[in-house]
Amino acid sequence: MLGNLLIGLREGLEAALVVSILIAFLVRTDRRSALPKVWLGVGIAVAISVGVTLVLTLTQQALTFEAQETFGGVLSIVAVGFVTWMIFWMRKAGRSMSSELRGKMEEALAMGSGAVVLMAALAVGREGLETAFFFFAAAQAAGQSTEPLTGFLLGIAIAVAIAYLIYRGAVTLNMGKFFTVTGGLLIFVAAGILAYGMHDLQEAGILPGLNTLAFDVSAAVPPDSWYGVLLKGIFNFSPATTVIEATVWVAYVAVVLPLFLRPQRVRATATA
Amino acid sequence: MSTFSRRRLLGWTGAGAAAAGIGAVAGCAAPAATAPAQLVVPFRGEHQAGIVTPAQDRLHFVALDVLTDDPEKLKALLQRWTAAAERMTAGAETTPGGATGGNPNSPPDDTGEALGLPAASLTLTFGVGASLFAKLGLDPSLVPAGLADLPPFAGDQLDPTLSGGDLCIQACSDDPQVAVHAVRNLVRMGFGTTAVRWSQLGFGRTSSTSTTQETHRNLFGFKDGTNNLKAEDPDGLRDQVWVSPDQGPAWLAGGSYLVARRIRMHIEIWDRTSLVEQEVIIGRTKDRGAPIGAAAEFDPADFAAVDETGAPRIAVDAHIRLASAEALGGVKILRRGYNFVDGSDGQGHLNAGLFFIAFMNDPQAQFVPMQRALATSDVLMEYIEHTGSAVFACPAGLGEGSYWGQSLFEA
Amino acid sequence: MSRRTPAAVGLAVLGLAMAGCTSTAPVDTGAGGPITVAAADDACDVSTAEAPAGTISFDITNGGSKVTEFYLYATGGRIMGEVENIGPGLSRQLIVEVPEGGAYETVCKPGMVGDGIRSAFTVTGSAERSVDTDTRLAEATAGYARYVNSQVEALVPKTQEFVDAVKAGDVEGAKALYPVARTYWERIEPVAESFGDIDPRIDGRDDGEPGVEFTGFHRLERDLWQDGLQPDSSSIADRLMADITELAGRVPSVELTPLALANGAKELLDEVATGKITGEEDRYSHTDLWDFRANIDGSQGAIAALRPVIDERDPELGPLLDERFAAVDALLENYRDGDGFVLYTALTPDDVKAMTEAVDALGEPVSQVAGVVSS
Repeated sequence: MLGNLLIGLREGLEAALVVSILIAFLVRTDRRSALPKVWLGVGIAVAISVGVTLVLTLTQQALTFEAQETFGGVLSIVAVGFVTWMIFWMRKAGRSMSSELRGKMEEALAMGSGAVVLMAALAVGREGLETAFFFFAAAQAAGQSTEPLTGFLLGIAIAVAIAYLIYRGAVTLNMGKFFTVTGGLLIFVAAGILAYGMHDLQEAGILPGLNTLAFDVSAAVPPDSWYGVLLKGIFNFSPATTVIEATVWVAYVAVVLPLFLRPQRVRATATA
Repeated sequence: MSTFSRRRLLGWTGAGAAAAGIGAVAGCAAPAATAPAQLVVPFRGEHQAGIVTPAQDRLHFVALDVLTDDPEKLKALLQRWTAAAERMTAGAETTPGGATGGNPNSPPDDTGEALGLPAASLTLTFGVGASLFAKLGLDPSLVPAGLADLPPFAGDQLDPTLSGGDLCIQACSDDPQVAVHAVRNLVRMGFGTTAVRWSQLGFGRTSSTSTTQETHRNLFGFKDGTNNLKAEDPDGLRDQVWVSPDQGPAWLAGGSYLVARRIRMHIEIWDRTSLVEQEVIIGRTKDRGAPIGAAAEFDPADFAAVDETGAPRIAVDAHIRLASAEALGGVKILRRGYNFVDGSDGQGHLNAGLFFIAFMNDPQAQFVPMQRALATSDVLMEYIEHTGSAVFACPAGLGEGSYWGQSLFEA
Repeated sequence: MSRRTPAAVGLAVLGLAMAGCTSTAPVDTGAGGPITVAAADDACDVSTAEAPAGTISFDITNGGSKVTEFYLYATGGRIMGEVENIGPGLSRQLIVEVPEGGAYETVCKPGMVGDGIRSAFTVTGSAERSVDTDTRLAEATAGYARYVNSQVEALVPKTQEFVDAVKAGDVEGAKALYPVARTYWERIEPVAESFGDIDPRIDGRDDGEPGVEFTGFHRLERDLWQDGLQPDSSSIADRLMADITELAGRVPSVELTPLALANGAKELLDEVATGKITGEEDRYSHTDLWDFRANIDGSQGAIAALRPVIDERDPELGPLLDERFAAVDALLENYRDGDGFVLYTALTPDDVKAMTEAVDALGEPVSQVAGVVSS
């Protein structure tokens, strides 16, 4: 029961976290009108994941291991691109807010609606296939025992609740802090996703060095402990991290964090 | 990812209905003729399968000679045997796709005659003979006392080519083809390391090893083994069948000795014997198998009862009296024999009889006194002769990941 | 960002997903079925430790209380396939494409940490053939062709000597030459048998079939050992020589393939098992052991020619063949008598049993050669 619950929690958090921050951002910047696009993106991701899973099962096909890992890895790296773009977009928004260039707000925030949809879809769809496969396995086991399915759904529910709490916490922050905190959080999330994507590509054999570990703290942070699950779900932290994973994580943070925190130069016109 | 079949989809909605159906059917006894064919007997467990397993209908028994003096070579074969045996007892080929899925230019791994047949309760029971130890140069302290040669018995006509052996495999199944397939494939895997010394087909189990089973009849037409030890008698099995740790050697604890005797029956002569004489010789009635003077098969035999002339109702030399635990100081064995008809003898008679198999934990104290009493006093001896004899030590059951004989080779 | 982007990405995702598909339709493995893995917190029981190369599917059921993962590793820790998130009570499937045979490892990782519970897993079968191998196979057939020709070159004069002795009425000389001449014949018997018309004329036995004339070696054998030379013995001898000469002329045209070599090596052992060990071949002279020796020589010749290919593809088979051939050689040496062998009639049932066991032991690995060279 607990094992399956933690799987649901982890997979759920990975998907829900970015979405909750995206929603918080849209709400804080009075762009509630864009919320349906978020749900559309989530819907598309769920539909594709379930659809692919169903098509594969009904046609008695399976993804080869390499294909599945490549798919997850590539999507993760694409997702990092979008999240990075969102981080700087938020930074700009924060600057616009603080510099009270409210007139330019709309222009500055003229994020294509497609981007919102895509961002949500990527955040959810990245792990969607694995989650859908898992869901079907749990559903099939329901013939003998409903515990796996119940545990899994409960885990998803807890993940959604945590994501909601993060959203609530975020929207109660004052404006200036809001952008810094959520942006900073997203940097670490994105770094984690990038490292995770690298690991997938290593597993698929596209990148080398799968067994060259930078560190292994599995003993201290068991992946099936609640804190291990939270760390993995939120920051994609892996207790056994390869050198390539650690390198890209450090590189990403080292490049993006200073850029994000660099002093704001107030300019007369904001560029989109 | 799992195959998500329509059948299973239906299963979600149909589970309740199916459960109700099972409830409805549970009241009817399943016809015994169809059910057993599908049964899979677990290969691993505390004791080897095929000893107290309810006796299946068919037997293929093989005794093998080991051709190597290198224990490592035999060990490697035993590991391959165990893997194949485990697969076959589950109803599978010796290797995945072994019969037709391999290279078309290679001989198939699996001989294929069991394709499409269920496991049919196949059990494969493994044992080692006394001759193995010296051949492999094993420590003499490992030789179990129970493997000491059986003494000669009156009337023995033992044929050396039908006796002894370094190893044995007893295959029992409800389907003769399944049993033969199992022995054939194991023999084939052994070429170069082992060779067949003798083998025996059997049918129509003559003993019941479970209270759930009817007692079958031997080729004399009598119920045989009514008073057998049964699987449902754990105390009896502990005392009489399983080798206890203090009997030694350690590698055989929880195992048992298998005594095999090929008993040729002169059935043509027996068939010319009057019914009353047949019943007197055996000590039971032919119709129901009841002890003389009793009404039903499982009624206790009253060996003290006398008729109006003062003579014992059950003759002093009746088979059941001589073989009874009462006459032998409480000794019992677990009999698991089979009938055989190996064609004809070239002299106008069927080469038929009983392939006697019995399991016990001390052959010298159990089988020897029983056979001695029978050989010297049993009138039945006029109609039978023992033509083959062998004793094997069958180790305890296999735990997960272990192989046949591991306790001996890693002792 | 255009409005069409999401749709395009969606399609791309689907395309990517479908590109890496493999069929999970149940492969007909007879009674085998998919490999089941019973995983638990401290166990990882794989129902078989061996599978043929190709698509292998594992059904993993987690009966433990921890989440587990299942991997198939190739040598050097390369992941062939994995399935993660096998929660307690769940069954999941791993379908993995393993094109090459070799040593692999199955691993369960209860708790998703550490090295997991490992067991060896063998994949049988083999990889794509290399050009290099084709060269080796060509060398093998060429080498065997040389062997066959050398035997034919000796068969012709030795048969001539035998025939001359028969025609000269020299019974003792002919009797001594009979098994020697046959040795060269028996070594290349599978090649000779490929000429369906010549073989019965040279090596036919008297099975009393009406309308079939009894000629060749065995007819002369009967005359020499049993009936005494007959009026037509000389003409039978001439026909034998003519048939042998015709055979010698046709041998170079035989299409030798590696598969034919391998099957020939096996057929020679079948000949031993069904003809020589039973004493049926030379029922009048009882010189079966000469033929036995020659059949084994021929089988060894074919295997030796194929040996480089065998060693390349199945490193364990060659040494096993060596060991089993050596055992047969050693056994036969026990029956040496001068330049030849004892007569079949001198063998006891135990001798015959020992020979049967040795040939059975050799026959199994030899029967594997065809699959190895043709894979």
